[in-house]
Amino acid sequence: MNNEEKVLKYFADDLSAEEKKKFENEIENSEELKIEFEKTGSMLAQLKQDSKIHADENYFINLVPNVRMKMQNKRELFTIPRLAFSLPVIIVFLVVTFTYKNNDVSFSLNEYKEKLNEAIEKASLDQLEDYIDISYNDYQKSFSAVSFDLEFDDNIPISIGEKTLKSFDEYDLINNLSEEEADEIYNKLLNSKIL
Amino acid sequence: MAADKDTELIHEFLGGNDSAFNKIAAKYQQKIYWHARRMLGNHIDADEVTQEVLIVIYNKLKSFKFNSTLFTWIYRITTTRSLNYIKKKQAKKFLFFLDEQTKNLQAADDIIKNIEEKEKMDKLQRILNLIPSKQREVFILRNFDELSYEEISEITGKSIGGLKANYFHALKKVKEHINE
Repeated sequence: MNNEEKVLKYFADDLSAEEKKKFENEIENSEELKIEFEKTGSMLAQLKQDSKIHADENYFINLVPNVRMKMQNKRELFTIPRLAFSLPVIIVFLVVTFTYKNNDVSFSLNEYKEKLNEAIEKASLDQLEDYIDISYNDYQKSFSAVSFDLEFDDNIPISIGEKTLKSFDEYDLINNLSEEEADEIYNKLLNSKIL
Repeated sequence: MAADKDTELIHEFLGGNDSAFNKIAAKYQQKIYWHARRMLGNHIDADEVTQEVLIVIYNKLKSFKFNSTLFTWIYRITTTRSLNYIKKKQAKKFLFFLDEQTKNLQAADDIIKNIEEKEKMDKLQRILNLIPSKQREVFILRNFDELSYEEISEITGKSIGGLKANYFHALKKVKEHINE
């Protein structure tokens, strides 16, 4: 380590206690090291002195009022656009939500109608009368279950009597309906405000 | 004692006394400004960072956790904002180039009115600007803000060994440039 590095390390307090003691002893005996040490010391002192500057006091007097004004302006600037921005966002959100929901409901309802028609077409009147007893309220309940399940699964649970059919593939019990029978049941269902 | 006074001021502010912020700002605004000024090299940038720091202090003081002293906390905000500002400015310089008009505007708005002092400051600034920003930060905190390595470590989150190495390299560069 040369003299300059030793001095810089000393000023950086980057010497161990032992190295520091050694350096302080060395400086007593080495004129060169002493000169280097004084040169660096006076340079640092000069830098510190030069940095003590008299600034315009008015700047610091007005600083806090300026900052407060800036904060106030920011608040005002953001309040109106925030309101202006939030209203369309709410509207868009509602439109998107309801459009999506309505599409989903209409899809569920159409599919439900289609599958039910198919099932009714195949079912026998006796079998249906035995098993189907759907009031408007029951339909509402089953319809919520249908719409819910359709989002995740193609299987549609439908209650017929005490049985719950999870899929229209299970409609073996209503396989053999004539056209007349099917129409009758279909009309019955229509009159019950189901479809 | 100073920390006790700071704690008292924070409690005043948290208790709803908004003017306590004025007292905190009055106490620290010069430290914030001069640190930013030495880091950034001119009044306009230092003013912007100082105002930004004061706004951050005002907004975040409500959630002050007392995990550190107010002094350390304010210095942490100041050093972080100054370093971020340097990065932003370097990006801007790269993209748009700062022209002569900007430089003249900076000179005209300076709060140092005495020509001799202005020259001294400019000379110091030219040297500081030649040091990498992280080394410059340590050099300024130790040499001009007169903080210990322990305090600087708490502010910057760096190890004391790393800070000593940064200071050593900064000092070496300052010496080289002064002798040029």
